[in-house]
Amino acid sequence: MGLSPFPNGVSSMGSPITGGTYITTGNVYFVNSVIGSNDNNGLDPDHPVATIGKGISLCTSGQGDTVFVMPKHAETISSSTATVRVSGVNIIGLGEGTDRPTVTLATTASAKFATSGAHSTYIENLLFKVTIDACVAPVYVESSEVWIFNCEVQGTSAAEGIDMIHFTSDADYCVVDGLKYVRPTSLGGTEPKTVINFETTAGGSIYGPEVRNCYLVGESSEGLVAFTSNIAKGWVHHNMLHNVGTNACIFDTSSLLATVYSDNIMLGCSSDSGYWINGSSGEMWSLGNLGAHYGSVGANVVGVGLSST
Amino acid sequence: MSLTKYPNGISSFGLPVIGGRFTSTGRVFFVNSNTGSNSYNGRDKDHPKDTIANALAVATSERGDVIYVMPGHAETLSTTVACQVQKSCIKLIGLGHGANRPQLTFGSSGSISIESDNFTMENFLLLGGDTAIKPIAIKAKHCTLRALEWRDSSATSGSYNILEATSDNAGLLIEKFKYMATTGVAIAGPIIRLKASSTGGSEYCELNNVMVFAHNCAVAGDGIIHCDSSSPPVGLLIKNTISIWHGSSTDAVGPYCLGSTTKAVVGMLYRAHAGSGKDTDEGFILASSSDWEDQGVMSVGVFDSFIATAIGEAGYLGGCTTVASTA
Repeated sequence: MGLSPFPNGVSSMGSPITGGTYITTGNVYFVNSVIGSNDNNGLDPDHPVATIGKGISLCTSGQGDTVFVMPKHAETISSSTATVRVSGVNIIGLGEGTDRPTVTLATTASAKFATSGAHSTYIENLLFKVTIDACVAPVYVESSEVWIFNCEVQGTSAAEGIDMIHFTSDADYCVVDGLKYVRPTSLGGTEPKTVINFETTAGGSIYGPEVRNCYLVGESSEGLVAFTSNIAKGWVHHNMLHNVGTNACIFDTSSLLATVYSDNIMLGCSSDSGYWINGSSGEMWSLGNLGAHYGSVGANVVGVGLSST
Repeated sequence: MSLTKYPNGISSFGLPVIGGRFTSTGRVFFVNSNTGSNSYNGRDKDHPKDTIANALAVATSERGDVIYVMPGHAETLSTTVACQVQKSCIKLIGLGHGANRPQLTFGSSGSISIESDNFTMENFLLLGGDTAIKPIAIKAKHCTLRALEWRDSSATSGSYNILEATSDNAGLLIEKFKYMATTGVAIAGPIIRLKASSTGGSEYCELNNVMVFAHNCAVAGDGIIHCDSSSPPVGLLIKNTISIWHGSSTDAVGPYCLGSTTKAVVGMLYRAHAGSGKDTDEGFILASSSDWEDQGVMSVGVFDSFIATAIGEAGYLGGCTTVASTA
């Protein structure tokens, strides 16, 4: 092949040197809505394609191909059609703050940035904005082994998602790491049910979900993080969770076993039975968490609780 | 394609840059079961070796060689010492995320034997179809095992002695290790075993961020982390480790060490649950050495002997908490 598709970089041993600590032996494509066109081949930053979906369509399954989404990229999704349909692709946003690539969910409540049949997708540093109220699932994961790393989800004025990130029964072994959702004061719109929800349908199950290092502040009517129905071996740890509404930080109705909550800092929960963790699972483990709370924290708990009353 | 054949990547100020976070003066090799062949030299990603063993065969000791195992690589290890590391100072790095990480499937006796010092293995998905015993044996000093995830699929019995240090293993670092057993199976041994030989013990080993899901499993493993009594580790550090082990355990479900361990420190949040079957003897942590120190240990569960009793008799107990469940 040749290196020439890398006018702004170099290639060594077949591995593009992409800066930072990231390495891949797969192909690399670029996406930029500002200067890109889906008629481009996307092989260098001067000829990016215009949409993430187009970039992903250029990828080959399972070889670690990477789509770099360039700073200032802005994309609006108004349909429920899955964007990510190729397995093993890395989608990496470049830029900081408002320069980060932004995906806006708009127009219809069913609009979503979705993965379908695309296991082992890795998504990093994208900003998801919701501009349609009661958007059912702005980020929708219908694939296993998906990792969402250092992304942010935002509502806008009078517009929120129901489950900001929703994982289905097909989403075994998924990881959310470093997610940010900050809405300390409501700007109107329907109160989200959850920010991160692993929820199975009848007969389904989800194994091994992990939520870590997240900073979630806002209202949610169930819990900022939820394990709903049949979840097994789930682990929520090292998060900062503040439900500014009256409900729990974590909501767990798993009928399967062994969900673990450890080393989280949790605030809020002024009612909702007075729990940081509102759970009905028989084997839910709250371990080493710290927080101010109302009322009891229930059984199977080791940690520090500071009553806000 | 591949560019240059510059054996060490590109060079800046005399230091090779290999495109990742490693700076090495060694050579770089690639492994891919899908596109590789042992007839290739493995020196670029379009001509990878087909197995890790074949890549190790062309690497050189003490040079800092790096072996990248490419996304989608899958390899089955069915025989004892199916892969033998006999060259020192090698980094074996898996690329990819989720199920796209390199996958190593172990048969009941399949194993990797690490026999040379300063070996690093990182980012692999390890699968146990049958009950694997001693799949990764460490017989060398200053090795690092990082970001390894073990998933068992046996419906009858769980794999054990997953990481077994069986010789002079000074400076071993096990970090970000996750073990997931099939719910409800029997597990006949520990998950991590530090076992010394006549040549020495496991001095100054560190276990950091270890998560064991062995839910509803019948345990007879003498602890998830087992230190043999004949020549126990010196200066062992265990931290940020969690064990979820609900079932009819017959032995301690936490660290277990009966020998004259010196200066072992457990500074971690650490929990388990023995369920209705309870432990029949040992308690949560079992250690007989007065030098076993526990700081900030937290446990929850039903035990015949709670943690405070178990280790209060043996070593120093500071900032520890235990809560009995009513399960």
